[in-house]
Amino acid sequence: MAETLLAVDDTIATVTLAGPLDRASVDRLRRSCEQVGVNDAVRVLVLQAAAETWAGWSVEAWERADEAGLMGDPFGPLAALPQPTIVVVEGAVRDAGLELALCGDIRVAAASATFALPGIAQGALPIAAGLQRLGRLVGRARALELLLADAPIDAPTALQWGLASVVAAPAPNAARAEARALAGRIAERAPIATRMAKESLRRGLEMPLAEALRFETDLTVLLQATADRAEGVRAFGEKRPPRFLGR
Amino acid sequence: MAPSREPFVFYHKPEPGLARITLNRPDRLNAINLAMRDDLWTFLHAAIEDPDVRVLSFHGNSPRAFCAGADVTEFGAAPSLVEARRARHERDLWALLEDLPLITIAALHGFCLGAGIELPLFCDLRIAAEDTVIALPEVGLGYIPSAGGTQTLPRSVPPALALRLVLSGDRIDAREALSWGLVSQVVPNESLDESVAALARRLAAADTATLVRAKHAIRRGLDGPLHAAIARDALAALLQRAQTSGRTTRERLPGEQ
Repeated sequence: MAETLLAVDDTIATVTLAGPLDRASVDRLRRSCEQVGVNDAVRVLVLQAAAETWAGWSVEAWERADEAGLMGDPFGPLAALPQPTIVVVEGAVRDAGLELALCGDIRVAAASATFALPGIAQGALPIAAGLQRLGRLVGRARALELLLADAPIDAPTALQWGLASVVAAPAPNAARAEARALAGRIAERAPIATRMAKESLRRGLEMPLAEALRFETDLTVLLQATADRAEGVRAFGEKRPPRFLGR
Repeated sequence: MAPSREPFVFYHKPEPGLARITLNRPDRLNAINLAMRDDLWTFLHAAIEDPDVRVLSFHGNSPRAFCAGADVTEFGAAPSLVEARRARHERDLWALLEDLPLITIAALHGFCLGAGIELPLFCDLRIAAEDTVIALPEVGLGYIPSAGGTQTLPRSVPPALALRLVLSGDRIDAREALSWGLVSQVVPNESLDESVAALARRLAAADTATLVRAKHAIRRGLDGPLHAAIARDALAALLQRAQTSGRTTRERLPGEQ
């Protein structure tokens, strides 16, 4: 029933999840990420999903999460991808649905999307690393607010908190279109630099600032050895669009 | 004799307590070249060593830009990658800015691109004129923000926004920057200079040494475990009380004269 589709269109990979989250969808997501991770032609991944997916775990997956190997960081392969990732969040994003969304780099929210963790008050502690990712993304005050709130937060609030990076216009499928446009803009840029920029931000945030600044410097010096940087700088000087080769 | 030109960076003390650093390369939208990095290094040290300077503000002398970023025409000038790396680590302008024992304010207007927003991100406060446009164009040119931006930006605004700006190069205006806390205030273009001067004057009149201790407590405290930061702050506060009262660090016992 739950079907996961990986479509690679030139430089943009799109993963589409359907059905509630369960062991099968986690496996398919992991396999899709494995394929994308080794495919240097892919410059950006877009994850989109059906409304049931954002609602969270299926009853069966939740009850057998331990034996199904879903405990800990089941969506981690998405977070670990070297390419930038964009998650399109639509509808009621709840519990594990939110934990999944937090694994992306950039979240494009539908204007009508809402976000909540209602399971916790009913005794269901998140099992997919969501509390850690949430706190790191929005800060502890807002993470606790979401945890203890009695109503979901809406898309504008999610944007203000930094839970969403963009809110799409209120029209059908606008979030998917907005995500694709954003993916296109990222895919046009130098692919090694976009990966290293992501690496610098993501890993740097886990380091003390002094070490993080040094890490950034080392990556930027490493990029000086790429043909793409020479091309980027040359194209800028010649006022023409650059032709990046990923070398 | 070589034709004289205006300096690329001005350092100037307009009134007691204040110093101003002005990027002055208007024909290149104040793009920062190697000579300007040297000037900034020199002037930052001048400000640190001058006991009369307590507040330092950064300005861009161009009607169109605070600063359009690094001067890419000089890229590739380093003799080797190993040399480039060593030079950057040994003469780290951005680490110097981070640890500056002064209150720092950036006066933003027009284009603030790449290093033109990364330098201000090391400042304590950013005041933006209404015409401010902020973007990080680096990955579109095959490199990454390298003036600390990949670290200071996600520590200043939510990482979800930082990733979007760095990866896409999308521009944001003054209002959006304000809504994210990237700037603390937006003012009309014509009153930018006076707003920054008034703020600098007010801060210079305060107990700046204590403000500097507090700002470093926040910056360094967010950089490590909470319990260690609290212990460090308690010690620093005790030490400061002892210094200002002329007493030893031992608290007086009740009844003790």
